[in-house]
Amino acid sequence: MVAAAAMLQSCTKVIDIKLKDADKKYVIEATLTDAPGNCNVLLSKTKNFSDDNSMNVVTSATVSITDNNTGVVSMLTESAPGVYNDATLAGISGHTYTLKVLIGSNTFTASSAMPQKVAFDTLYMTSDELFGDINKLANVEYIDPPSLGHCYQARQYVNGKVLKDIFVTNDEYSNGKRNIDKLFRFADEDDKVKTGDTVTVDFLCIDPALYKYWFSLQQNATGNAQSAAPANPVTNIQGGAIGYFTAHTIDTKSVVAD
Amino acid sequence: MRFILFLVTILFCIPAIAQENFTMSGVVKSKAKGETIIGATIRVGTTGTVSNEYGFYSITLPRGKHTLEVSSLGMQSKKVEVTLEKNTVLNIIVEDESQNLSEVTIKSTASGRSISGTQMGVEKLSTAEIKNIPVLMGERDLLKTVQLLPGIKSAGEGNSGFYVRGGASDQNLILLDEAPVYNASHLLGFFSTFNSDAIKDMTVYKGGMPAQYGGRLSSVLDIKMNDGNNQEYDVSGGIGLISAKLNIEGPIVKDKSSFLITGRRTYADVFLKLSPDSTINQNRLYFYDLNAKLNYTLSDKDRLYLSGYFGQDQLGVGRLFGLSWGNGTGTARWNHIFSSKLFSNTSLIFSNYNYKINIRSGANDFEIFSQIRDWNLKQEFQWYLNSRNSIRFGVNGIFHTLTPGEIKSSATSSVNSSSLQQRYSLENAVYATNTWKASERVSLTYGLRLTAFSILGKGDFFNINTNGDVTDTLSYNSGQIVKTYVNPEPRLAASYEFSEAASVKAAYVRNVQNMHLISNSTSSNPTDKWLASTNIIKPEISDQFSLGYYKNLAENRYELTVETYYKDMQNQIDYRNGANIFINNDAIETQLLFGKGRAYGLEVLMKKKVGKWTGWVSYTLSKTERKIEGISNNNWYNARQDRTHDIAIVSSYQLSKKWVISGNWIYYTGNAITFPAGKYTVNNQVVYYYTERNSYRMPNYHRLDLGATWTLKQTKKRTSELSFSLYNAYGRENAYTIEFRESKTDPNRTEAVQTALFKFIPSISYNFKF
Repeated sequence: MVAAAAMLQSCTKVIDIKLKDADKKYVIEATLTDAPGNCNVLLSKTKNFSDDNSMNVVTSATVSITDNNTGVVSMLTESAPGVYNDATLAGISGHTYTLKVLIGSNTFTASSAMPQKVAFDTLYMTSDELFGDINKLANVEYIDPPSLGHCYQARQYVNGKVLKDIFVTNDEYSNGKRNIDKLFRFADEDDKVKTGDTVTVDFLCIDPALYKYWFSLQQNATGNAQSAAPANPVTNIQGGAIGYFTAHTIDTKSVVAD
Repeated sequence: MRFILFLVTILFCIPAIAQENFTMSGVVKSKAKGETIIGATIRVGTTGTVSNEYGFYSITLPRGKHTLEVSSLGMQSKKVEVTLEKNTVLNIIVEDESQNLSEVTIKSTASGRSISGTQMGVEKLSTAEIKNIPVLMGERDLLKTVQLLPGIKSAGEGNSGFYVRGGASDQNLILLDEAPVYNASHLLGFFSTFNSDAIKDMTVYKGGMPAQYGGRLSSVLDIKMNDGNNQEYDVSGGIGLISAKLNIEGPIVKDKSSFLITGRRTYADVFLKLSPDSTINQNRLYFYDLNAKLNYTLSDKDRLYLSGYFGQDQLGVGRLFGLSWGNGTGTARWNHIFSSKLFSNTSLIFSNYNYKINIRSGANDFEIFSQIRDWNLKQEFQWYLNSRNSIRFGVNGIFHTLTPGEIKSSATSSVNSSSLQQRYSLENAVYATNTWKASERVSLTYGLRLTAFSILGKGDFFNINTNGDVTDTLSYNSGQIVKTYVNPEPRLAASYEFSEAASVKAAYVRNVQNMHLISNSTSSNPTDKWLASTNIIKPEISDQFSLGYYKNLAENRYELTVETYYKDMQNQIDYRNGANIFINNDAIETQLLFGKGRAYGLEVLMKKKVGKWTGWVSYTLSKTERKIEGISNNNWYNARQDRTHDIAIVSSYQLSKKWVISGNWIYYTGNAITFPAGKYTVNNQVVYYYTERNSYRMPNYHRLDLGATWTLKQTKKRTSELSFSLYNAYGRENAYTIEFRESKTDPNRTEAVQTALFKFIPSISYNFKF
């Protein structure tokens, strides 16, 4: 919509807005995958808008992940300030996991079910035009299983550097089909993928609650002006913290852009 | 039918009249074109009447000699001497003021607002009145001009969407020759669907809606198309920077029948095509629309009108994405005069809105189609009972068919073909209202509209818990009634005249709305979703109380209006946090939240309609809030369209016979908006943290527009003129959006970025008639 308006005429400028400061909230970013070495929990607090973007980390918390199917509890250790992990823990598809975080007298919990793994068939690059601009875009190909309710996320890296774009999709409209998801992005000239760059994609099968989290984050919390009602993403964390706990499968492929 | 008779009976407190009276009736028409005149005032001494929407009038007077004074805006006043010995039919022909070439200035003696009537909260605009008002891209537009009146707020820069007295933009009933128009905007809101060349007149009701209107909470915009010249052929048109239009009208049989065809098309895309760059010349962005009308006088007592509208927008980005949308309406009406006191109109109305999205991106190759379609039958009687009572009663039935979404895909597409359930409903209403002139000074209008909205099968309906999860599915067969909502809507209004030049009025009105628009975007989108009430989505209800003071000053050269209102709204709809309204699921209710609203305000309008200098100053002070379970901790919060102050100054000055200059200045408080209360990092990117809904404001908005019209040639047969306009003449950068992002220069910081749209937009257009 704004793009269409921009075709007419527009001008943008950075402005100064005084924003009121709010009470700080705990932020939990917790990940468990089906491969060992990916079990990370980042704890931080929200900051004022006028502050810098560094993470306001929360140290000395007690963090555990429980496999609800087996009852096994794994305690995570703080490897760096605000970063808690377990180097060997890997999840199993079909199992549900519960995260428990103790910060002082506050307890936060969240559950996530690790979905069945869907094979990441192919990764390839195409050149696409968007509003007169040519971009090299990654294409992710997979076959969605016949049953409904599969949700996917793609995380993209260029030459090992992770991109900030969020790509989530589900099988609501494409159940049981061969899917080719084009990872659309609007990049500045400097950020565009160039010939010879290595593009890597993590293909994740995520819990539907996480699809909702990422979808609502993208719609309402990225600061863009399209949303009529900006709001915090729909979290699966209980106890008043924001963020998420995801138990997902992971499959990674790389390709060199031609 | 028995119910209507009952209603009609209880509405009368008919005083027996001993004196011998006769009724005079007929049609008021313009001499030049034979167009019927809506709202012409016919005064006889201290009593009087007003011609109805078909130009028909009826007045009951004692036997003897009378002088009728007929006046109407833009028309020369006329005195008619009559001697009444029996019931008489007299058609009154009035002449256009502009036909009188020695006097170019508007010199109407008609006070535009009737001090004496009970109707309040109403504004009228004719195409002639908006002619000189400068507008964006020089495209004259009733919907944008109406936003310069108090209580009617623009939905955004250059937008034809609007909010009336705190209501949402879907709470306006927009009628074109009685047919509801579901999406009144072109080109994403920058133009309205109403081509001013085809429009005769527009009336906006902000409060005190008469009982014949219903179905929306906030306002009624009743737009009437021209009937077409039944005297001679006319060709007129205009060429502007982005659009061209042509209007052809004329008699089929002189004095009896006429036709009118008006077309308009924008050609911004023609310039895109000139681009050698294949990525630009494949983009599409245009709209066109077509108005047509045919009317035929069958006999002295019968007249038939057929009118239609069709418009379409096309937007496309290369071959990747395409969006087209449009409205189509059709109205067939039959006027029958049963007697000099009883006027009848029967209407059959069709209304359609649809959009289509095409996506072709690799394996994602599909088309989405959505539609809303109405069939509408109306029967209305206007009974000019006696000099004190005039009664209107009627019935109305609308059959709605909604196709929320159909997906068609090719065999190789990664998307499945699917379709959401069609929804059927029947909206019935009966109404009756009487306007009773109780005394010289006191008038009263009292009426009732009774609506019954029936949701029909076939389809699945749902029960939902507080978390928005479906707990139960209820299946209904074709034709089975799922639920009927019956709502009485009282309509009351009273006026007291202090003198011929001053009055006070009060009104109470209840409105009910069963068709709801769901949108989760800041601007109006063609793909916003219309929903009918369901077992869960209850009819929206509003109760409005208003009070007004009206005064004509300086021998009727100025008119002052002060109105105040309080409006209470029930069953307002919002969406849940993270809602997806494009959900491929029939239970759209899972994405919604419900609550209430309230709005109150004060509106002041000072208008000058006669003389070389004309114009108005309008001021609105208002507050609009919502309270919805699950939003802002269930507290009252500002609705997005809440603005404290709204000012518009509109004026034009006749410099000479050839030149008219004009200017508008607009100022308003910024809309309520949600800004972040903080930030945090997730997925390696900065995400914003929000606490309260709409607790901030956009920067205040102001703008000056200038215009000039140069009449190149004006004879009785031919006119041509050049219009110049400059939108946003002092180049104020008004915030259209404010976004938050990681700073481009210092990635460790965040910044707020304002986008402004239109700065110094000049335009020129050439209009002609021959």
